[in-house]
Amino acid sequence: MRKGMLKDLEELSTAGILDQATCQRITEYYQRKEGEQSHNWLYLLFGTLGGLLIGLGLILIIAHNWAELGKTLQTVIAFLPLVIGHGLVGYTLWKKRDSLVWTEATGLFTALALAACMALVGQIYHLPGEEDEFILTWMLMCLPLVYILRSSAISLLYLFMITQYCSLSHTWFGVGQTMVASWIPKNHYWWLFLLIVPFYYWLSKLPDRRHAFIGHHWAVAVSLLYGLWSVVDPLFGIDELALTLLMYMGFSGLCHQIGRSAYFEDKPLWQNPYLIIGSLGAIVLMLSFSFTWIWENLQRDEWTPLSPSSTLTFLVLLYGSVVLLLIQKGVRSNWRAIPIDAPLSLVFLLIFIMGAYWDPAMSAALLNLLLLSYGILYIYRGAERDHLGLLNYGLLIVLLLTAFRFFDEHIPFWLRGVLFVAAGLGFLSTNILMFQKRQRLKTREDEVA
Amino acid sequence: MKWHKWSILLFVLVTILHVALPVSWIWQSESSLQKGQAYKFKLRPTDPSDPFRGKYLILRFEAEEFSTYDSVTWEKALPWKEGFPTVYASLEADTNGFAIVTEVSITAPESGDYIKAEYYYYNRHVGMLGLTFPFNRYYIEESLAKQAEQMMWELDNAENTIAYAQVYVYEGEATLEGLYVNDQQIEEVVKYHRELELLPTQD
Repeated sequence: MRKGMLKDLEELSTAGILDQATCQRITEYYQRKEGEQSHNWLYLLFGTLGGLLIGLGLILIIAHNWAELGKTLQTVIAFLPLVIGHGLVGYTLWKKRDSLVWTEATGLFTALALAACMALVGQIYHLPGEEDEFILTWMLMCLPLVYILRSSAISLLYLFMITQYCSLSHTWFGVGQTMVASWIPKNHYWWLFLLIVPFYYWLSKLPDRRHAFIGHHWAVAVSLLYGLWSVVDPLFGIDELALTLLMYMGFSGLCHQIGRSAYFEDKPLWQNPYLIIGSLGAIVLMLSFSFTWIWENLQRDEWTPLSPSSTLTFLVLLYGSVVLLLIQKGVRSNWRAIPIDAPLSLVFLLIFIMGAYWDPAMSAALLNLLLLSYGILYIYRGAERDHLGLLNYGLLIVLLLTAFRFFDEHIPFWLRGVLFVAAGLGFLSTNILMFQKRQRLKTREDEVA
Repeated sequence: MKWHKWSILLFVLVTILHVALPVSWIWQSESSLQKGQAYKFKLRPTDPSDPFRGKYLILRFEAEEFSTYDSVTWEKALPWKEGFPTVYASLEADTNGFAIVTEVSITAPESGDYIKAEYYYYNRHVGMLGLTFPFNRYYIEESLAKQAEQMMWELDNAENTIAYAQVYVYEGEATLEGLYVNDQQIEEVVKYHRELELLPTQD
């Protein structure tokens, strides 16, 4: 029962609109309902955990290699959990389709039983195939169950496994006569991800699946963060590396926009992985790019990153999305409502282009200034709102920047010294000004009182 | 109610798919075992750092190295962004029944036994084409795994020891039937050596 509701009931009782007995009955009703809901969640959790543990246990047992049993019996045992799983799912669809416990537990059990069956048949017949191929086949076979049963458990398993697939699958490529192994993921990840998006969207429409939806925010955000790597072209060189980092900056910008959208406005931070990834990602990338030598390596007389590549396509998509979302926010509400850190990725893009084509030293300097500004901004906001987390975040940015620059041998000692003194004087001046302002305000308040 | 019926129908289709896929693998393997020609592929010593990966032994074969000076074909076919291309190795048995690769081609031969392999590398200086056969993993019971692994390492130094994989080949598909050391299944050899205390017991 919401605290607000209790307060409202008290108010209505005081105003004489509701009598005490009615208020008591309303309170008891909602408390009972919450109790039932929490029990339902317990059943769901235990049921899902039970299904998961049984499925995993079966896989472990099967992995022991039952060489003594003979091929026929092994094959029968391989199919047994799958047949049981299908039976349970069939029963669920027929009689228990409204029960979350049944749909989640039986669905997850069947998904794991399928893996066990495929793995054991592979073992019995010594079938070839790498882990990434296994995961791809398994997940494609499980995907229909996500939609048929509307199972979040299988969906989360799917997201986890396609991310795992991304880390395992890679393309080998050769240069001349030398074989060079490269851990460049294959590009199947993206269409695998797109196949689960409708389910993610469908979850957003159901208030009673709120917890599953929150879980999916995290799974989707982390999966995308990892899977973005899979668009990198096999022609891996310094240009591609730069474009990849730029792509991640664009991704951070997009996450930031999503994290600041109306849906997440009133949500606590732990339910908003997009904002966390967006903000942290941008700061980490900018700190990485704050070194002059990186910009010097990027600069070319004739740098042509515009060769067709999947990385470039994603760059356009990501930054284009950031721009569109910013415009949408500005048009819908107010241009002033756009937070100052929202266009960070776009500013970075401009600095990047400047550094690549014109003056790398200027780009490095601007980026450091940008980082310092954002650090100070977060410190200021944290102090203003009395938010310790935000204040510490800002302090961390400034401290890291300070540490990086202090040990940056590419900047002459004298210049470092001058910059540090200037920054220190800046902080002290701001401190004095803020203190004086506060004193003036206090004096005025005392006079008014 | 409409979705209720559709979901059950879809589920039935999915069930058929879930069962059909592993059954198709079994069917293919059993077809090779029943109708295929048996070939013995001699094993070559494996890299000690990677012979046993979890549940299976990684196998390497002498026949995976094919001598050819046709650098024109093989250097053109070098993998580039595509992964390892599939090639076709034509097979014959020598006088002792061991498989030898007589030819490697980019397209499937029209007659004779052959297997699909991956084109791994080409060394023009020694005229060596490196292939990877698909039956390169052998699942073995955990309790025997370590000893089998040790046996594989020692192949190089073992005199009068011939280790080979028995593979059934049918229409380009190969199914690994068993791993043998001097015509005895490797599991039996390991158990026998363990009984004679010639091998340390598994921890």
